[in-house]
Amino acid sequence: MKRRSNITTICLYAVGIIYGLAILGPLVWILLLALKNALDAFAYPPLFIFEPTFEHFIAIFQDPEFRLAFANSVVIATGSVALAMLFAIPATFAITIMRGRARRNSLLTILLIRMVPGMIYLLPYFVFYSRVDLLDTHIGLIIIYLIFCVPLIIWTLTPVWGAVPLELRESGMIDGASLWQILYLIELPLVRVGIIASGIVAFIFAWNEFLFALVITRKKTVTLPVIITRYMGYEGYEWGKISAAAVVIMLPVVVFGFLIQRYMITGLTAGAVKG
Amino acid sequence: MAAYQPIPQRAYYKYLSPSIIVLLLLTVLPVLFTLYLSTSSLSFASPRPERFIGLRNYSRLLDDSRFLQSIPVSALFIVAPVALQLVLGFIVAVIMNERLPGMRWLRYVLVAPMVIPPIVTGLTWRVMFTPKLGSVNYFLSLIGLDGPSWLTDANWALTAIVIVAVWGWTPFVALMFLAAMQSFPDELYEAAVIDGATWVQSVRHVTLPLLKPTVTFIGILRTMEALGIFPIIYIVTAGGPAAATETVNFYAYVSGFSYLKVGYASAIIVVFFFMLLLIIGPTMRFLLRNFQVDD
Repeated sequence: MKRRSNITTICLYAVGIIYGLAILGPLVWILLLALKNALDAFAYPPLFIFEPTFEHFIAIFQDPEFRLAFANSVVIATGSVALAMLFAIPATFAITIMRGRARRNSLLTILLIRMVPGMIYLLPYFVFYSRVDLLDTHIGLIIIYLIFCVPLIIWTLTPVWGAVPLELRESGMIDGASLWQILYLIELPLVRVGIIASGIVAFIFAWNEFLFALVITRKKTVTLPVIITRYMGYEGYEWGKISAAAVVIMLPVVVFGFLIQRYMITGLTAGAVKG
Repeated sequence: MAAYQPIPQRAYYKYLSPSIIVLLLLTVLPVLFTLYLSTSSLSFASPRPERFIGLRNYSRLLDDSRFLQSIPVSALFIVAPVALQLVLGFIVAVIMNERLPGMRWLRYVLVAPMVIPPIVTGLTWRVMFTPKLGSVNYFLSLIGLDGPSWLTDANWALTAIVIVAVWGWTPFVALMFLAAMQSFPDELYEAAVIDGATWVQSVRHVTLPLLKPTVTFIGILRTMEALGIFPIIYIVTAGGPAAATETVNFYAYVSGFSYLKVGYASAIIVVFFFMLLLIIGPTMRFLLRNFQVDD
């Protein structure tokens, strides 16, 4: 279709490969560091071949604080997704029937809410939570994460749900079903792939979130992104533990990311921008 | 057979309104509360009860050199990374759009920076920039360059943050651009070939103009997110050296949670909010004009 000179092709390959390596390099580096003992970690020039050790992974999982943080992260991320779904599923069901201006304005409002930096809300929640005893609670963090998870789910789910023919609703009504029944019995099973994908998108957000977790949690509900910073303590940085913890934190989201790659992109491209 | 009776849109209000109400409550109330706090003397460091002090927090901001310094830093951390992300993202998207044999892996590699926690991105690069432990300077030495002391020199620390932001968010930009490019009609490229356009010319005169609205849209999204940059600064430089890499929102965090001056920090947040509105205003105008949802 398009003519490309050989030189152009070589340039494209070169830039693509260099860029790919620049993305992969730091991640491979942190993985290697997690498998190095203290001596190998500081060797210069750096070692690429060495005897791997799992001591850092064992060390973090023997740390009760890290295990607690892992459990907290699972509870908070799962809880955020579950609670957000209760709001986002009916909302998406409604948005799919909306047309024109109403649909656009709803989607844009929801997008805008998600885009506002969390720092705007951080102080008021902290002061409010300290007065109503919600600091260091799972539910406190889960409520704040609604601000981001509900829009994420709606945006990812809308294009998937949009593919379900609206005639289903009319024929459901004719058969005497209520809108709720149409939603839960007829359409929800049809969009379960979208539910899973959008749930994963929201899970990744809650799993990764740092700012609110840093301020709202103390000892009891501390999450993984916060606990990892504690290894940067005063008695010198424990790079072995830090890199092992980094690998443990990113592993689930990277796997999830590969699974739902397609949906992460379509979520934002669903509303086409015209030229 | 019953007559065709479309379900009125009104019937759906009760499905949408819980989300809208909850989202507005969770976002508008905190903003109003911040406005209130910004006129109070509340400080967690002082035992005195809070009292109304009018605009004194704001007037104090004008004399605070650390605050004034954070504004250009915020601007730099928006303009430099977003511009680089858009340019590099375009190049990477063009490469992926060529479907070169043996380059499929690039698509998968790009997913990683998009999904890993920003805190891990920060830690990874903190390691990379640390002498001996990291490898940035090692690889620079391989091509004969003497690496700087990244995190202790103010200018290099600023550069370091820009590098991390470009590394972290270019993949998102590239994949969004790629998605848009794949929807461009082949006929336009065929016409360009018939007109004798070279490959570079067809990228320049067909792909780029078609992509313009997407570039604006993604640029806006990235700008808003760039304004809120926090975990990377927190980990890589902690705002240092000597507050050189401190953005407005980072300084608000430090004031509120290190110095415990809640009222003062709230005033910074209000200023930050107005900076955000400066971006949102034109954004909304652009989106309302150009944004089309497929029905």
